[in-house]
Amino acid sequence: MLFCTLQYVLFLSLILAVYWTLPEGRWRVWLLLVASFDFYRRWNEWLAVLIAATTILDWLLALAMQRCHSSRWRRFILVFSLCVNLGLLIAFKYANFLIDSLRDALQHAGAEASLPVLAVILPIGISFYTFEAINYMVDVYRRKIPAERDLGHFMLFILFFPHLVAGPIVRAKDFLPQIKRPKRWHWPRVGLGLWLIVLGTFKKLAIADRMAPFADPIFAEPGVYSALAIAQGAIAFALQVYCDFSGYSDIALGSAYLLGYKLAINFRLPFLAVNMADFWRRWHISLSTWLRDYLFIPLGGSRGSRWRVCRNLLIVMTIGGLWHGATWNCVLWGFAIGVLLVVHKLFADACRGRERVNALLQSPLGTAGRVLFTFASFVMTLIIFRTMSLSDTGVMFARLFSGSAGAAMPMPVAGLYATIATVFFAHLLGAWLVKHPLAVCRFMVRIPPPAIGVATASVLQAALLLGPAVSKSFIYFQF
Amino acid sequence: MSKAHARSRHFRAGVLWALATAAIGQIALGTLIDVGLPEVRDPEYAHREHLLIEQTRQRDGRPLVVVLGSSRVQNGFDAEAAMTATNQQARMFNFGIPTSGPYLERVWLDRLLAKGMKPDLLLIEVLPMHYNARRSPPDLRGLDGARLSVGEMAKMPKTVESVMGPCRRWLVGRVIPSHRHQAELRERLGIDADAPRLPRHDASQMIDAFGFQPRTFPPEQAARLRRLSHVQYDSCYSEFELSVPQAKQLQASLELCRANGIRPAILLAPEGSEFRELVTPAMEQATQRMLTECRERYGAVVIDARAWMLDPEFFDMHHLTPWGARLFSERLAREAIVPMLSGFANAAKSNTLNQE
Repeated sequence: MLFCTLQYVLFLSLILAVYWTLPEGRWRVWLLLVASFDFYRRWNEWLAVLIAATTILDWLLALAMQRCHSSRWRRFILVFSLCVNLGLLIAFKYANFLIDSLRDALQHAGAEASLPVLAVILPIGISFYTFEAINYMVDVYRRKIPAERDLGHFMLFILFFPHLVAGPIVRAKDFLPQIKRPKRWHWPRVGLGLWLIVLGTFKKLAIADRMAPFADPIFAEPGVYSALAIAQGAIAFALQVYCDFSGYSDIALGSAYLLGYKLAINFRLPFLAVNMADFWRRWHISLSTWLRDYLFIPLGGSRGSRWRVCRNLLIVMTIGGLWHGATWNCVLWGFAIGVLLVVHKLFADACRGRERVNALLQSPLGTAGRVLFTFASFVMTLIIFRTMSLSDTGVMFARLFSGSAGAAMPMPVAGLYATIATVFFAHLLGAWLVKHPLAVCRFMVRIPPPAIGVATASVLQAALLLGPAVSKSFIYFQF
Repeated sequence: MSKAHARSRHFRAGVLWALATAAIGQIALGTLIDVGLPEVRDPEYAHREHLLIEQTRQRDGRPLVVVLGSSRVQNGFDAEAAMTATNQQARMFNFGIPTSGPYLERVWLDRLLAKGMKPDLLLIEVLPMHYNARRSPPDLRGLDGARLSVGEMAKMPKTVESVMGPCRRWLVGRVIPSHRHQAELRERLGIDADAPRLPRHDASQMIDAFGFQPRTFPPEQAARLRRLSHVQYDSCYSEFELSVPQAKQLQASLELCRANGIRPAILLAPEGSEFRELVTPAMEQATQRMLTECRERYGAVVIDARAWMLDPEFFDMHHLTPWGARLFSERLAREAIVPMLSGFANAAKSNTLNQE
């Protein structure tokens, strides 16, 4: 069930009506669990059963770990849980990738290899809920949180439908206490939830889906288009992937707000980032913080020699790339991001203590230049991410940097430029709003309710009209 | 009143205003589409109506012949070939729209008359399988009620199928028109003016200026299409019992013809031998009884063309190939339309588009 469909609107409305009618406590938790199971079951019943089964196993293992006093047994249980969770992830998502890579390697080495291709269906959202299960098990192992005693509560943490298929990746320490907290209908929160759903729908239908026709043909035939068209296609894809995923996250957050829950913010005006490190503090925040807490820091983090830190960055971002998809393009994309982070770190280290350089970089012009450079760097990496193969990536970069002539963008580009301007000004407005929260609050309570209502309904109407007849699936569903 | 309470009240008013505005906006748009934007509500019909208006723009005194019917007519009546075969004695137009049955034919006729378009001769297709009371009528089963106005919905035969299917779709179309009529609204607003054309537009472009839509399929698809036709329609031929509500729809169309001075004719369109063999004696008798009544009460000429064409002229035993359509149209024009037109020859009446 896609978020931007009538089916989801009816589903959410029904759940909300029943949820707020039920008395506080267990009934509501089980209602959300049944709803979440039904939400996932619509894709594949057996995979829904599989997720439920692995969730129950993790719940049991965490309880066992809590009762166990031997650190060796605790470690064993943790490793066992990681093996089960990562094993399933590898079996469903990476098995064919590994087999294909092995076959190619053997063929390159001159050996004949007839390895099988596994007929497996990728469970939607497996990367997300695997990471959630891992963060819970690790936190219980580190004794940061106690193991959850209530199976219903734990299952809701993993299966809660707003974040089930494409995040945000929630942390047990943030979510589990919310289940126990009494919830009441709170109009400001309901208003915020509704507004986030409308905004997310607008981002998805009116921007992301309208950018796809600019990007798709360029990436489908990379050898045909001119350098300008390739640049336009890559920028269109950057806007598409941002509005697609942040739109999804907004709807997830809004849906959770309506049910009295708060999920982690996933995007914070990423295209205003002044460098790559800043970018990853603003883009897919729930993943980047997960990678930081459960991978980068355990590897040593920023402690140790410069080489060690750079190595950690490269390892973490390459794994982050692999998390996005079982292709060499995704691996290379993650590695490229890692290289950019390393370059930034080295540059930042080099600038330390150079006041004139820092003053120049901090000036309005310098800041604008850094924002532009960061955006351009990210768009370049997206070419690796979006192309179908490494050879296509090579072709696109070769044509882009050699200024090749070729076919122009097959669509009139006025729409693309209008969207770039819209997203840019929306970022500036967002930055102003973030900078002046009190003024925003004061302003909000002064806007007459009819104006808020008309504005919200107009944005929704615009989204419904501008969106394509058949909305594309969310890009991050495939991860 | 505390600040928190005031804030809560403010947000409550905002949320309720948003929900109310969205709901009222949708219902207002739905009403506008129902009443004032028929081309958004039913673009398929509107496209044909536009073509018919174009064809009848020049008042040259020739009588106008319109053939109402289903996809069998749409793919089977080549109006241009028929006109050529009759030395352009009349202007002819194919008003075949897929899934049409007695109810929709009445709706189309109502709309044409409301627009001031009064053909001199109207051929109404009758598919006997649409009149089986023991089966859910194929024309209502899959009917998209959102194409119809509230007034037209009121005239629909009240059956379980019409309530469950068309009425539900009509309701969706009126309550959330932005969802149901999105493509048509976008087209109307010119949102996709620069975008590559959608397949739906390509389909409407395949309809020629006289309403004929020739359809060809690769020969390897013939068996699949034939199977599909049998799956869809075979059950309608068995255990036949004449449906009174469906027959009343046909009679209502004939009554409209009489009231507006239109000469009616009933066309039993060609069908392949596999479908003709499915017609039981009971079905044939009931059909003939109904047609006899139409002939006697409304003076409708009955043209039984079911066996006119050989099987190779169909691509699925149900719809004619373009070549089959040409042969059928020429024969229909020569053997049925021209004799009926003889009465008009000397009348020289102003008979075509009357949009006053």
